[in-house]
Amino acid sequence: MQKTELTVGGVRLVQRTANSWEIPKEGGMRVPGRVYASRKMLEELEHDRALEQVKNVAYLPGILDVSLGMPDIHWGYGFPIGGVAATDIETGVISPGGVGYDINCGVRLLRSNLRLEDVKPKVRDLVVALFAMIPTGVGSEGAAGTLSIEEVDRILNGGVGVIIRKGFGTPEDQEWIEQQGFLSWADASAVSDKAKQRGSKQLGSLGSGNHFLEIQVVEEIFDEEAARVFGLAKGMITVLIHSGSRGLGYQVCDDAVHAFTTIGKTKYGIELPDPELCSVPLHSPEGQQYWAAMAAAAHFAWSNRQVMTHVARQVFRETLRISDRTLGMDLVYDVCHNIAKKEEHVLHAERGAKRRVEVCVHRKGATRAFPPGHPDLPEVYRETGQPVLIPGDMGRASYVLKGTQKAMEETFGSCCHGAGRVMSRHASMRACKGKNLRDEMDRFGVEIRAHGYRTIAEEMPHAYKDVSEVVQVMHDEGISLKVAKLRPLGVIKG
Amino acid sequence: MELPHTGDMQYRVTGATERKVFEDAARALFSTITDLKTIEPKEERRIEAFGQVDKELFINFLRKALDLFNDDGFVARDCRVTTFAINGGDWLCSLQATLSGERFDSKKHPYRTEIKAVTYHGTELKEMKQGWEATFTLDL
Repeated sequence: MQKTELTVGGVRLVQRTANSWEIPKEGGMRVPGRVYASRKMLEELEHDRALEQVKNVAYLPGILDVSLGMPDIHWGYGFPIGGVAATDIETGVISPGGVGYDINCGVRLLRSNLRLEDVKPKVRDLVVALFAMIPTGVGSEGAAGTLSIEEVDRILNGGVGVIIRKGFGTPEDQEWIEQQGFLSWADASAVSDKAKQRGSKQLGSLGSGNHFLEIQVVEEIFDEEAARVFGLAKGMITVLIHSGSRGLGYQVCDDAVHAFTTIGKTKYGIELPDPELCSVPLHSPEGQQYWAAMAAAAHFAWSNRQVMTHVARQVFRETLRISDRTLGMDLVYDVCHNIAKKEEHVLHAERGAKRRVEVCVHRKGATRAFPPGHPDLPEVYRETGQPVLIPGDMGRASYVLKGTQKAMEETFGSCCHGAGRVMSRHASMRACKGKNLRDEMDRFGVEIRAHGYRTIAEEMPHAYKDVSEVVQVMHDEGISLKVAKLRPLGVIKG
Repeated sequence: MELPHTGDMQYRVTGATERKVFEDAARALFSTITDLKTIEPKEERRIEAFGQVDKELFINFLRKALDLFNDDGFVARDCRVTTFAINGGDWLCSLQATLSGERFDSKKHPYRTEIKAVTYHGTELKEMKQGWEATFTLDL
């Protein structure tokens, strides 16, 4: 293949495969960069600083192999959104910007026994009831009510199991969550009181912005066998929940960013091209505190999605007047989009030796995509690989993929996380001028409830890349393979 | 003025004085949450902020203003910076401000969007030929 060279937004890229590009090491970069994207997608990044951010991440002390950008990459805080970086456990850093403000923002997919024809006339009723029962939008109080700080602490330490034992869901739910919704190093005492206060009222709330809860139908199956294992079939009704750790997680990140911005440089002498990458050594006391607080916030996020799952099941049962068994609304999987975790990977430099080493993988706007046979997967998914859930915009589609060995070899077992914005919120608002948005959404055949015109305008499908193109890049590169396509029928937003 | 920025919300505020720019930045922050015109100045809240340089003071001031909403659901229509010191003491810069507004009420105030945090992203505070200009980004 003829190797093409491109310069986009001042960043030089050398084509490596049909849909992946290397950013050669230069200046203070410790490793090269690599971006997965079609040429068209890359060229759309001309006025976005995301590629420069992939380069900046490559300066992080202890970064291993390569600084990665997924096809949904866009400009984020320090790290690009859609960025993946692994750092050395001993000598590397941890960066709160490499996880993001919404710690363990993620998605959860629920299957059901319902068929499109059962639900179609009831979609509006379901959306109205979901919107009434699941708090959304600015400053909303959660469906779990106001918790005491002791109750918050129990969740922060104990993970999603704590909230399941309180009656929000069934014990089986836990099996189908990344890490079973429990990170052993979480410690509530590492989380500030202020973060706990913010969280105490928000458990079981969706939030605003791009968060949503969607009723969908399985429109297309690409991989019959994997779909069967995941419990999916054409024409089936599914529910996708996209939310995170709410104010608690934002505060944990904010606390760390403000602490690290000064001490990263003054105490640890870490010089970075962008102050937003603020980092400290992972093993330092400050690094360990953030590490424990981040895990605690991840517990809160899983619990948040769990409470909303419980409410969604209730709404479906009551609106359709059916039993839990008839509904059969079980988890397919729950994945994190914003997290850092210690995982075992084979490093490029050591490929020959095939030695697995433990590294700290930062995924910011990226999904874990573990291959068949990985010990961290539930028994049932060991043959297929991990379900990789990719939400799209609210008009077009979402996808279920499966993880591959190629992802382990190239991307630290990671895939894209969504469509990725192409238009700012402001530009999206402007593009909506003079349009009746309800009519627009009707054109997509989607019933929508949100708190305001503005949220809908900012989140219109035109503000996002086409998720089908994004997913195709991952599929063609073999990073994750398409299993099913889900089409939205109804959505609630903040 | 809102600047184009994928993902987050970036603002540029200009004013005759640095103090005025601070006040308008706080208003811009609350206008992200709801429509300022719907807020009545029923109550006043006081905040205090510090920073080693004025840019840090600016960010910390906006974080304190956002805390009023996050801790107590308070939204402000107006902001008055009452003391504004750019030197002295261990902390080189400090300010006190009074914000007037009321508790957020979803029946009265239209929802816009939730602010995750005030960030250092692209923050600038500079003296222009005429007056001052501040640029700041909110993570949404």
